[in-house]
Amino acid sequence: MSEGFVPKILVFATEKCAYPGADAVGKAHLEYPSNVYIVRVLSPVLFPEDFYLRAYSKGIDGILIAACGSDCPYHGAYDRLAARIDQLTSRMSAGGLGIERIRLTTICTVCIKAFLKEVALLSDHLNRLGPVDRQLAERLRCESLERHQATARFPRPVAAMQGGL
Amino acid sequence: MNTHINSDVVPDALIVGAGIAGLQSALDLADQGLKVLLVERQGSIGGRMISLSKVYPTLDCASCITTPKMSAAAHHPNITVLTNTEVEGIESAEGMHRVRLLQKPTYVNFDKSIGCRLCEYACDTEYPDPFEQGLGPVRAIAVPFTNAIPQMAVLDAEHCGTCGTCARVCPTDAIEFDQQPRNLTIRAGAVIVASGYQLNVVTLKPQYNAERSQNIISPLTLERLLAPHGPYGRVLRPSDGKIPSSVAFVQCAGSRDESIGVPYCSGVCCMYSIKQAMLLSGALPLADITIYYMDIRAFGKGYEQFFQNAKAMGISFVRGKVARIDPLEGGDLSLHVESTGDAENPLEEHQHDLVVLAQGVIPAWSPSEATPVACASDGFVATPVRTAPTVTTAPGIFVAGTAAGPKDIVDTIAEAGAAAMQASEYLHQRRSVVALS
Amino acid sequence: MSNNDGYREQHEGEEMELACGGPEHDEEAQVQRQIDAGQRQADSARQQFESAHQHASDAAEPRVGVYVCRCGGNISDVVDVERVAETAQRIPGVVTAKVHTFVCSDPGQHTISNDILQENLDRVVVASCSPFLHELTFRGAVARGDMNPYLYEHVNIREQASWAHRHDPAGATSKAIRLIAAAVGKVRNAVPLDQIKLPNHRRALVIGGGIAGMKAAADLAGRGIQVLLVEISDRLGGHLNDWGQVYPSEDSAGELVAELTRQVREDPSIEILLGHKVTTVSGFIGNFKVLVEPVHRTEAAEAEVVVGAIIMATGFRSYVPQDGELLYKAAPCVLTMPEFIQLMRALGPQAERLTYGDQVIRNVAFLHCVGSRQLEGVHQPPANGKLNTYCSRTCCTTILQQALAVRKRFPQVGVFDFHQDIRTYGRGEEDYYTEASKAGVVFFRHNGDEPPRVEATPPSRARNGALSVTVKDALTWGEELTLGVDMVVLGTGMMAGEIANLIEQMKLATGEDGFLQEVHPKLRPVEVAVVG
Repeated sequence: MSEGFVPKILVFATEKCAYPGADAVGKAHLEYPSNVYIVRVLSPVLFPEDFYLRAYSKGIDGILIAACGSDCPYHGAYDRLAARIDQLTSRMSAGGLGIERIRLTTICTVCIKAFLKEVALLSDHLNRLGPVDRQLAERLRCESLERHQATARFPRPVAAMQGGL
Repeated sequence: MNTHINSDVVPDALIVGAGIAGLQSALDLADQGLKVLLVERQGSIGGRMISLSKVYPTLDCASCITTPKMSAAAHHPNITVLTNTEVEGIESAEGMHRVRLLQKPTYVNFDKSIGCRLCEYACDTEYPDPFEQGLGPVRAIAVPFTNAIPQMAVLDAEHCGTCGTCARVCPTDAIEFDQQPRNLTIRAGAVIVASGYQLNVVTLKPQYNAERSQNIISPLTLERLLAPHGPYGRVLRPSDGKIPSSVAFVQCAGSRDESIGVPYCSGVCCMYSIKQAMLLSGALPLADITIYYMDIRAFGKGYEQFFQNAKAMGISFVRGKVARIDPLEGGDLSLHVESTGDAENPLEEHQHDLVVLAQGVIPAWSPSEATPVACASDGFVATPVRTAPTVTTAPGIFVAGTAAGPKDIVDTIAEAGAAAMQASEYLHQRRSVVALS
Repeated sequence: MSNNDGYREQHEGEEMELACGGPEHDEEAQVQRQIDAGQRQADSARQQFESAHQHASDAAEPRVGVYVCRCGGNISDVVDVERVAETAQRIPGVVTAKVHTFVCSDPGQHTISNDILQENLDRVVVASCSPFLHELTFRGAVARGDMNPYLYEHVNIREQASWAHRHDPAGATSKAIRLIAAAVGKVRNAVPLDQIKLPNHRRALVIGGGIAGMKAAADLAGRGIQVLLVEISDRLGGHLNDWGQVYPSEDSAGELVAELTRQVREDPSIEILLGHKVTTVSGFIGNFKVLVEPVHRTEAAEAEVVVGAIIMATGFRSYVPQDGELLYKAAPCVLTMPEFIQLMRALGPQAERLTYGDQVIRNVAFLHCVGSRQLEGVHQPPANGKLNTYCSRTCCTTILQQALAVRKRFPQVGVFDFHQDIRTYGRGEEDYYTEASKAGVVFFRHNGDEPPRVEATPPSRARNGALSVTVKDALTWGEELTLGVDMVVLGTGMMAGEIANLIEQMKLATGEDGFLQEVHPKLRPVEVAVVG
């Protein structure tokens, strides 16, 4: 693993629970590394597999999906999300992309310690694993997208195929 | 921002006071589609909250949570804001309220002014800034403070040097030295009194000798010292600019004391002192901080935990009413306390370099003088209807916030919502009656 | 750019369908309807997206304005905001990048709306505090600049940068830059949106028929809104039905209840269901579908109603001490405050002596903070295992009111008060403390971590009373004193009501103390996170 490697961690935090939870960490003036980038999302179930793989191919080394769990305001979304991430991790494992690079967890609006713990855990894994093999990630992404387009009830708009998305 | 009104306009509700209670009531009514006239006697809306550093128990930046309400009210299409305007009197008849207003001259034409502040920068007459509790200077013509709404300069005639410099530099000729006070009578369907509070003065209790020392300060002064954009940018002792190393808070300095005519509890002082102590321990990590108290009234949601946290942070709590404060040579202060700590020597003497007197809450306005609203024996607005705590003795006139007694921000906002609802109901009923008849 | 109006007209009805669902028994048809509606929406959305994307690629380079807030030092103390703005200026598409001390303030917002007009901006990014504080504020500012408010993107560089990376200013600064670059990238692809309007059911549901629920119902009805008031017990008034006088007015609680009951019963806009409970809630603001069932199941069972808004007024539970706690249930004459109030009421105004059953009570001890202000290692948590660390805020005044009442009605009865603080903070409440003291109530004060003990007095010393209260009294400099008394009244506090099903149904947040959690503890004290 190269010296001075600083992993880039992407956190998808749900609007209802995890994002306010991340805010709570800042409000408590507790600290975590600055290479953690938090994106506010309504519900991660909206994102297909290849979306995460694209993140890896574009420079992200680890992804933390901080969801609402049983507090999810969208009926059934959390279960579907869990199933999708399950699929994703098996494909990542089969493809040689370390499954410790992705983690699905529940963070509530006041789960300060849990948030810090997850970030610390993921950082540890990534420091050990090193940066993602971008080409491998890109290959897995294309495979995933092709599968989706072939089988999905709602195939993606054409523009997406042209690498624009 | 809508700042104009003429006597022909009949707002649904007129709200006296644009502090947090007035702002909340205004927003609630305006969101219901009612037209609101918000009248404020100071140069800016925002009341007391805008001058605080942080609020308890969340330690939110006070400015950060007040400005959105100020902004929302200022920009709401249904709300008109009149600043520098006093209520001279209210007469009510047949469900309408004739409110006599006095618009004080600002000597600046708000239509022409663009808020560039060139007048302020050019003026070379200064006086102690009332917003900074007298700690820093302010120009004779100035925007009241950084986040003021409206963001317009106001000329203080009392301190003006009449040099004319501001008029010369003004790019839009907005300075009008001949502005006169303007009397205006507005008829409104309902009125909400949200005139707020003031703290009683530090010199109230003679035994505390506050007039003999600059280092015995009021809590609002400390708020400004602690505020991110305060007069010094840090906490310094007023007499000599020394960084304090031993700070004392004296609770119940302006309340629960028949000898000064304030027998009641002001409800907020325990909490604001604990808050200030916590902020101080962050700003002055090496300082000793002591709170001298009779009872710690941390009663609200999250308050008890806040108090326990303060204890855990090392702030000392000494149970004992401070009987006397003697200023010493060099600026320090000697506090005489009968503490419950030591049986052998209950009469203790402690030396501190800065003392904050937790002054009490008194009404900022007495509506009973010129309006049909009666006040109770404690000086605050009387609320005689037991099932409607925002209804006053005058039909169609309601009250919200500290005008009806000391209370914290949470209770003020809840009460403001209640007053708005009560006013809205009143208007609705009257209209239904009118429609039917 | 997008034919929003057509989209809205076409799909408004379907939005409703999706939201409200259909009757449970026709599940398959319902699911199919939802799929079909979803398909139509997806098709339409895809068309709209493609045309917008096409248009965006055809369109001229977007003109983005970036505003970086100092937040009065909260951000600028850690993040080098000047450098952030300089760097942002160089991002493709960014026309202007400015720093401001408080972007949320009026002048700050004015800068934004002004720049939109003057510099012809068509996208705006603000980097400041959490979007939960000001996203709406800035959307408003953008709208005032005549720009669609959804072409605005918010970046959090306070809670999630300056506050979370205080000791890494370099890291916080480059993170801020990255986040802003990401936001600019996102906002370039933003499509103007119009708010969809849905019909709103102008009817409110108030859950709980106590004093709060009744007042809420009366106010809403007074405003011309239909109300359904659901109460699980068979009477209105809640706890007040069991109380004598309320402080500080000393009004009769029963009369207060009667007055509000009259108001709600007389108003034709209010429908009252006693002995009923809410079992399921679904939907969203303006369109909540609620199932209401009688508590005791009968033939004509559930009713489904649609309401626009819901008020939770389910109240509290009085703390009940554990068996044996301070000798509660282990000795006669140890009462909770509600039990004592009942006793005082039952005695009636003619009673000359304070009696409990057969026993004449000669002296009473009142203990504060029972079940409240609990400390780790000092108190036992209640059955749910969580300590009640909060203050119940009404017990101090209640205790003093009762203590004073005893002294006035039964001057021969000695009254002793054991407290850590006297919290008579409200309007008119301090008088109870002063009067109680003048009336001869004797006060003892203890530290929070050394609460008084209640024990059975050994028979040899039971002259003053069968119960002994022992306290390390701060008012006599920590001397340990033991008092024999005939009766001990525990100043019991409040606990959250048992509303687990409602919490589950409406996904309500609860706080550490078990009570419902409001959106913002200072500014929005009566709203919960679920809108409506």
